[in-house]
Amino acid sequence: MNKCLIVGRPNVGKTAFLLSFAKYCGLKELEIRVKTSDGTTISKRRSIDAAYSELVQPTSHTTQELQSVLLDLPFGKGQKTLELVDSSGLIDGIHPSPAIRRAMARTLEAIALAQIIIHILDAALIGLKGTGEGIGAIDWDLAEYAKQNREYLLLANKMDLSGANQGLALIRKSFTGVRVYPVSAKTMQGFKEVRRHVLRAC
Amino acid sequence: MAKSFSSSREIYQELAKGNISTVEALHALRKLQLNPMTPAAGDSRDNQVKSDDALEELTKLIGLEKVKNLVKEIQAYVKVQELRRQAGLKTEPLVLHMIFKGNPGTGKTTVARILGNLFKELGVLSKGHLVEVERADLVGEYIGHTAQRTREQIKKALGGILFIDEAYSLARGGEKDFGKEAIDTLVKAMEDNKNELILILAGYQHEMDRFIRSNPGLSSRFPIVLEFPDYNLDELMQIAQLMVEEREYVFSPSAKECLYYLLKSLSTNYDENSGNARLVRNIIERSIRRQAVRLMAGKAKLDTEALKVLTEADIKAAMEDTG
Ligand SMILES: Nc1nc2c(ncn2[C@@H]2O[C@H](COP(=O)(O)OP(=O)(O)OP(=O)(O)O)[C@@H](O)[C@H]2O)c(=O)[nH]1
Ligand SMILES: [Mg+2]
Repeated sequence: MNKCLIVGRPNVGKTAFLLSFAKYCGLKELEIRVKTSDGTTISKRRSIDAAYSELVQPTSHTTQELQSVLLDLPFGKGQKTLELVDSSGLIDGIHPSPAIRRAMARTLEAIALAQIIIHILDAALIGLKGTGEGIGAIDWDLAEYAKQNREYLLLANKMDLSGANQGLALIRKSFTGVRVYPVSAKTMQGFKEVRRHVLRAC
Repeated sequence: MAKSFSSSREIYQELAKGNISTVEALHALRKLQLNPMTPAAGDSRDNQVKSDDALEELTKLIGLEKVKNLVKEIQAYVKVQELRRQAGLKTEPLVLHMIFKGNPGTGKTTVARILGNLFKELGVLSKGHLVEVERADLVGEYIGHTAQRTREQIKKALGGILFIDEAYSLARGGEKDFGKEAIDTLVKAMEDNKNELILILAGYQHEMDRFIRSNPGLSSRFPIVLEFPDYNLDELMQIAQLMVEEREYVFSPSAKECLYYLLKSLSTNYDENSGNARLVRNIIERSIRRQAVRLMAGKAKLDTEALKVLTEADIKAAMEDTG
């Protein structure tokens, strides 16, 4: 089974994308598998809407464990199963909290185990703040590392917000040679293209 | 002087411990992916460093005056004890277990590594290598597992130093926690391997103080206490200077000024990483990348001078990245 890992800086909408994409793929209820820090996995069943209000928050470092859902994607006459994994946001420097540092270490560990990487950027924030705050060293380095031997998709999220178009332009300029998918986890715009790419990669 | 890692696991651990930034971890992972190293290479190189080198290495570290003096005292004491033994006089048993207190990025691991080499040269330790562990490396999942895991780490460290980072995390969770089992196993190992093992417990000042207070037996078992203060502004500037020289870059005068004021403004807000050499390294590495972007974007001739100079703009751009 293919593992597809969602990565990015905190608060760019990784969890929102996971849930929204699952909904787009036809799921109404999810079995979310959370890998806790001691290595055990716990499962919880939630409706997508309940999961959204529980797991998506306007603050950074909301997600601190790897949490995943299984998706069945239609393919020809059959289907392909994909494990979509949400991870803890990555920052440039050294985070003062040991728990968050460990969470970030688990994210890097998960990159090594994934076949597909979805790297999310916040296009609205980048439109507002420019490269400094919106795209950081972590994004360049993440792209460089994740691209090696893996399928790599770059998503410009929050396209429903104003200013996101400037952000998208800046992203395209900064990451040459990479295909950028404009999406919104809120309106599901751009999901069709993402799904097509993921399917091809499976 | 980017550190080389022999396994990705090591990189994840260093990141989790706060010894390297996420960006550094990604660099290291990429490097490892491009040219995997054989695990033995790093170890043997470390062991070749001799004690004179070890002491010289220590002197070269910026700041840390108290730590340096204490290490010299220990060295003198060890030598005199040996001479007394040869003269047939009474000797004190050498108890060299230590406690290191300080924020991440203040040189604790570096000093521990140097001490290992020093003790090897002095004949106190047979190998002098350093094994760095944290709670997750010692504590297991069921009764008996912890003792077994802890003993494994001890075995690896025999002849050298076992360095336990965030040692107090072994005491969290109370009586039922397996951390207690780890502590008991460690204490027993200290008695059983008196001459073959030095233990260093390290961590944040306050947490270490509390840990020692709540475990009264510890002070006598760990008689040497080293405090690693945050670097002051002048020391951070010296560190910055050394780092750019090592990489064959130079600061333009205004760049240096800019860095100084930046570090100054950072050190006034309370921040655990403010007096931290790693922050300086991050800024420098980032400004080196910013310089490259600036050079490639500009039309000026790229002579040796231009390739070496880091300007105020590079530093500022680097700081913006830090957010
Ligand atoms: N308008 C808009 N808001 C979004 C979109 N995607 C996410 N958000 C908002 O952005 C905030 C962060 O979303 P999360 O999904 O929690 O972000 P995350 O990347 O998982 O964050 P961490 O787990 O903290 O790293 C929330 O307030 C979301 O409602 C989007 O496409 N459009
Ligand atoms: Mg999240």
